[in-house]
Amino acid sequence: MRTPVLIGVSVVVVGAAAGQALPEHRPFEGDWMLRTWSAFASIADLPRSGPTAPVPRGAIGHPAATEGLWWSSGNPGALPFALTNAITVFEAGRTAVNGPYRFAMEPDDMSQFGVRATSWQPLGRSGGAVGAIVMDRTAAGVRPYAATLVPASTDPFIVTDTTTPEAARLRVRLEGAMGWRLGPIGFGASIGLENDDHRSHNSGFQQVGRTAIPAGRVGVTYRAGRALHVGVHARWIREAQTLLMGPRPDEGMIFQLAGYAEPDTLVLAGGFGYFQRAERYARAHGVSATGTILGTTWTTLLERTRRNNRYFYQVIFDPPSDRWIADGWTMSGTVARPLGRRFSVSFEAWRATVRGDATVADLEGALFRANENALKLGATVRYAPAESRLSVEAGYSLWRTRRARYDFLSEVGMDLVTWAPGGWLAGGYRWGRSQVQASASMASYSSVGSIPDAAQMGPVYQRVLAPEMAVAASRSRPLHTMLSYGHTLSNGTLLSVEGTLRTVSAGTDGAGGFTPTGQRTAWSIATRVTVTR
Amino acid sequence: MHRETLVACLAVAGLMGAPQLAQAQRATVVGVVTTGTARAPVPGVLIAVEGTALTATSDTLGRFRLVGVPPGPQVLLARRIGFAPTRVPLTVPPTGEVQRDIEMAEHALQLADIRVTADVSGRARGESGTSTVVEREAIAHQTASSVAGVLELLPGVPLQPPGLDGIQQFALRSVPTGTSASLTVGGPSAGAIGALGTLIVLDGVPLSNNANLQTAGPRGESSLPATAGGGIDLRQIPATTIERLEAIRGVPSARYGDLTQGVIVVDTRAGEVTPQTTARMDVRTLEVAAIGGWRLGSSQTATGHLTVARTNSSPGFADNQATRVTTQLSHRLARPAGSGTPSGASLDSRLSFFQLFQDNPEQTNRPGVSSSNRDRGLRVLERLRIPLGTRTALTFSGAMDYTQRRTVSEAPRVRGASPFTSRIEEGRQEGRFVQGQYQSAVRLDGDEWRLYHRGELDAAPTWLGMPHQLRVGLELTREWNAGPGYVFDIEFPPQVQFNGVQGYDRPRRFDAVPPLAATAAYLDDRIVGRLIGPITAEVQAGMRLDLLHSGRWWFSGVRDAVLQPRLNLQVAPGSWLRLRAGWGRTAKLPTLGQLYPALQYYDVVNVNWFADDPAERLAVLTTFIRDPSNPDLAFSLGHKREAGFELTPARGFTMALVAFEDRTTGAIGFRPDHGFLTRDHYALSDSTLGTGVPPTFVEPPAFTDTVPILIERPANILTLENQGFEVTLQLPRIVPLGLSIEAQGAWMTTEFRSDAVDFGRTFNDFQFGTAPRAPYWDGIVRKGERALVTYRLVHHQPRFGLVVSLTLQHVMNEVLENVAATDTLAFAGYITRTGTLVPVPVERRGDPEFADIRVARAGVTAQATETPADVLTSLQVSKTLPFGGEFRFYAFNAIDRLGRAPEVVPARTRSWPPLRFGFELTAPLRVFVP
Repeated sequence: MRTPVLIGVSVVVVGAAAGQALPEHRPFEGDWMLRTWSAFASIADLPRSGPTAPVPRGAIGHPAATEGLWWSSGNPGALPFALTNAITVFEAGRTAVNGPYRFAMEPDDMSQFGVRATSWQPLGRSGGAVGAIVMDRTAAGVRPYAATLVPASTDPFIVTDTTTPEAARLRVRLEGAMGWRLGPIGFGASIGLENDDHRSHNSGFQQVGRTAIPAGRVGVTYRAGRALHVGVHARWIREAQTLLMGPRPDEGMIFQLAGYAEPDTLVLAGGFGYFQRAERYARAHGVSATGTILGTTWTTLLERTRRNNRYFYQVIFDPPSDRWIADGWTMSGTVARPLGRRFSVSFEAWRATVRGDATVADLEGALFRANENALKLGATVRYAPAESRLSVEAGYSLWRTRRARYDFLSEVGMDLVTWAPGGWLAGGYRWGRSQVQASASMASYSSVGSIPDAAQMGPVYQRVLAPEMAVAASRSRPLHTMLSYGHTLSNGTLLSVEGTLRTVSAGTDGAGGFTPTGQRTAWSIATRVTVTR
Repeated sequence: MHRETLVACLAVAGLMGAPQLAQAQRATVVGVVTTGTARAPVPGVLIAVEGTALTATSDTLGRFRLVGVPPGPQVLLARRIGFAPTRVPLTVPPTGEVQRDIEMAEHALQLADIRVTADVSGRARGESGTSTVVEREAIAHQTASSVAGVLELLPGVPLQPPGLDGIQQFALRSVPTGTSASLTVGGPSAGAIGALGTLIVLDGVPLSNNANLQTAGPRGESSLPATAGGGIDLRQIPATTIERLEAIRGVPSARYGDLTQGVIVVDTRAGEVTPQTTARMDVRTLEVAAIGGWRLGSSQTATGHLTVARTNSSPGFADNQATRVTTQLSHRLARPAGSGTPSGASLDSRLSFFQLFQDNPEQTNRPGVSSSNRDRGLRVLERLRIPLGTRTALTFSGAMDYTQRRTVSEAPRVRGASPFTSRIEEGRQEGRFVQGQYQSAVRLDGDEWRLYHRGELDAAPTWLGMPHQLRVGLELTREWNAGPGYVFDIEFPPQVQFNGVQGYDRPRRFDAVPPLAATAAYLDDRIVGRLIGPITAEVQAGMRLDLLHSGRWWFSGVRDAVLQPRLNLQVAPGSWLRLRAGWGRTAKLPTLGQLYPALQYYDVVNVNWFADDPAERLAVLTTFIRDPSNPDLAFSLGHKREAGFELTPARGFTMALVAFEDRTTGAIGFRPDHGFLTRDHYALSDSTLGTGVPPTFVEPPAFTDTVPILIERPANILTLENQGFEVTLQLPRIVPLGLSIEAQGAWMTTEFRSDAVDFGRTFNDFQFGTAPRAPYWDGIVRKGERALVTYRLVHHQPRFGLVVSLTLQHVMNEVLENVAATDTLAFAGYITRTGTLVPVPVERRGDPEFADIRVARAGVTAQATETPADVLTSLQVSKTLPFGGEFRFYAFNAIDRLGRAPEVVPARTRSWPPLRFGFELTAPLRVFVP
């Protein structure tokens, strides 16, 4: 499950780019420092997002990633094998997203300011601990969407309304992991808690919500020398989200989407408000392994995922509820090896599947079904000789999704395959105590298949879903650039600043007039202090 | 009751003279003060034995020596600027020398023995009764907005989200049943009685709400955000300024009076304090505080703090807002020996100010409804301590409190056409007719004053070979209100129920209300000694006399007097077990509002001629005034009993259980005294319509009848009984995991009843109709029961300065119940039109002659409301930051339970605990450190 966000885009934590971000469970992109091992890593969900370009891994001031069970599968039992020194990173940053090329339920513009502290610490010779806290405040502009529900997850239940208030969200996330080793056996646990409070402002139609997400992960690993390190893990996320809407003094209409059929309209007026409670529970268990054979390091992960989402609308005991029940698989693998003293090459593959059915309280049988999968293939070549000030990385990735979604009530569905081949070029240069890093990447997004004919659908579909479908069915070319600079103080403390820019422009119209026009831009700037002992 | 007093006195006398008590015993405590990490000695640390005058200062090698320390559980308190204050509990043997080293650190969070929860085995200073002690670090870790949040560390107290939303009153050992003592008129609830009887002592001087008159009275229809008739609004005391809190749940010593439930002793931070500033934020609350204390030369210290806080109660839905500003300046002058005054003489001065505003502006969905309560308080406190020898001291405390309260309430009201007069004296007058909707506005402007003086002799003599801790004191209290008072336009009053039955209020000046003067004297002695072999005993016995004066000052006559014996016993067969018991009587003063209630006005209609043409209407009314004050009004009495044990089988393992019974009798409620008025009916001379002039009425009256009335008179009619048990459990620390586990629980029942009869709603019909009589019923008994267990898991990593505590509160059971029959045979008797009560025996209530009064009792729900079990989770994280700062995170209802649902009425509705989270940053202001 993905972290709930205030708006339709993923608001990634400070230091990473924002905007039409990729799902968090793609482990080789974005802000991996918090994601791979995070207790909040998504389970049995493939949220839809707009076209994005691949992002090179690593940033100035973040600990260098290595291959291993901790980094690839987040198994906390591997933590004591992964940490060698203590590092603390303080970050603060700001992100802004704007532009009309967006899903209908995303805001016109939004900005986020946040701070984060992350600390990695060996505990004696046999233990390790990681802790992080993230606090951010997001301000979102007008949008035809109610509150914080993820509007583009695999789960079809979405609440929308006809008002367009500005909104703000305050979020705090704490998480930590500890692991110990007893000889070749490692065991550990990670837990986390995220709370958010979101509410509209400057509006006569009040929207107030809150979310609590406790999550946890446990793991055990066994290391049979350098050749093999295997582990099993289990993890869970429980998300409780409460939404209240009140017409004070303005009136509004609520739409409870459960697919593509026209939903019933609830008119909120007078003293009557709206309540929705979402309780989402997801769990996963899996096995992972890593090792080195003939100078080649490999990792693999296989994980079974399950999800049970429940929605109800009355503040009573055992209320009737709508449900989304899904399951799936996640599997990944990497292979990496040096080529001589100056080059290295790595290949990665990642695939996830989700299949789920939606039922509503007052109907028997499935109302909506989704069968989705995603595949990513990647290859990276790095030039990074130890004695050189210069390092260069070039990569290629192929991102493919297939989403088959069918609404049994309206007998309408989509079956769309998207392709996004892309590549990047990144380079870094050091001199004295300074270093600079830059990267540029792009992708070519296209799709084949079918989506519902928006002209034949109802007005609510046309208003809130058709633009998203149109973006998914259109061609576009997303870009990503990054520039960062770092300076090491005499005591070893590293100060760095990083700026990123993402853009995606409207391409061909794939849905007869419902495709948004223009461009969507996300830029972010982050400052970072890294203390290493 | 007098028999119990006599028995207690004899017991005290017997124990004081018990030959088994061994000779006087004192021990010596030695140790070394070091830093936690480098183990370097720390010189210049002031080490004190808490609750005594014993102090020592560490030398250049960090060594200290305390001589003459009383045996038993003691606490060493070590302080030095630049280091976190450190508390070290230890058990002192009767004789000999005990070694106890002290570890200090810049951050308290880096201390291995830090306690971030209440001290389950702690003792309030100078007290033997069951108590809870909460120290500075636990208060800080609690991330509370006011002292109310700190009190959640007590057993049996439900968790509440931090913030300033809503009035925060607190009742020790009580289950607030919520509803008032009377259904027909507003009366105090069990919660209000319990909170009024819980004494709050701030910096050694009690706070009082006795002169608070901000209420519309029992007949008022306005809802006011004020606290009259209940306890202090605890929002006025910010948690960030508290150094230590003691909650004396058991029998307090005779030193404390004007209470029925228990005592909360709050000490604010004073002396040398590292200057620091704290900012806390969550979605609703923003709070900033700054504090610093400096040494001025060798004999003086000065401390100041400033806090500003604001809470939006329900942002997004309403603009209700509470704001608070507090500031305090403290000065301490401690004359060194040889400077002309006795060694150790000290003068403490404190000047405190608070401002607490609660504003509830008009909302779009409730047009015309708004209210606010704006309190400002100023307190000047002086305390002079004069040592008389090494073990005797004389202390004079004096305080003056001034509280300005401004309460406003507005609401739209609708009334039918009714005769009206604005007369404020008794007599007959032609009135007029009023009708329709209007906006009522009420102002209550109160200026409360309070003078408090206490002289206390504290001595530690050895009599008959036994060490004593003796206290003798005299208290003088005077409280009055000098405010403009209760103000509203008589024509647009805050009530529309002009039925004459219950009367109504006219504007009233508060400065016309006489003051309340009280005197108290007390004697308290505490003896600790060895009985036989290793068995030690501790006896604390005392007697307190409270006088309520009939006049304006302390030398006037006595209106009521209460003698209050108090006794606490403790026997320890070994260091692993302590058996404890306590018994005592307490008394609570009536409030000014209860002593001097507002006059009740009754406008009886003599002529009611309503014509279409307003010029032809005639209304004649006679105004009667009744004074509801009660010359027999007296103290409320508290009767407290408890017994329990404390088990310490191993280091770090403590289990304590105490069973208690707190009974408040004679608590003050409104008794509806029945009576009647005579009403003259006049004939009209000419009632022809269309003349354009009103008719005239003919003297003498054509006939006279009676109007039954109820006079809401304050009386000692309420009884509040609380009983239950509290258990606390502290397990040894699991060192490899850095984990401490504590549990505390309480099961409590509350029974709340009134001795007054209830006239129900049919009395109003009886007033207007021609029925010769109306039924009345016995009072309703309200019962509450609650069982809750709170688990606290504390993970502490001193190396990282990290403390994570998870609080799980399991509300196992909660039942509220009204015990009353509601069927047609439930009536107890009837009242005649001349106000005579005629009881009807149960066996005759079915007789045909009572058919007219066999009516169902309306408005009473006699069904129990039982709430299923649930668990609430709270999380707190404290972490040191570079440069001496600290970071804290808190989340209330962290995993967002939706809440519990009562099983019956109101059916299937959930209570809905909010989710609150926020963070706090503390940063030292090093630039201000000399």
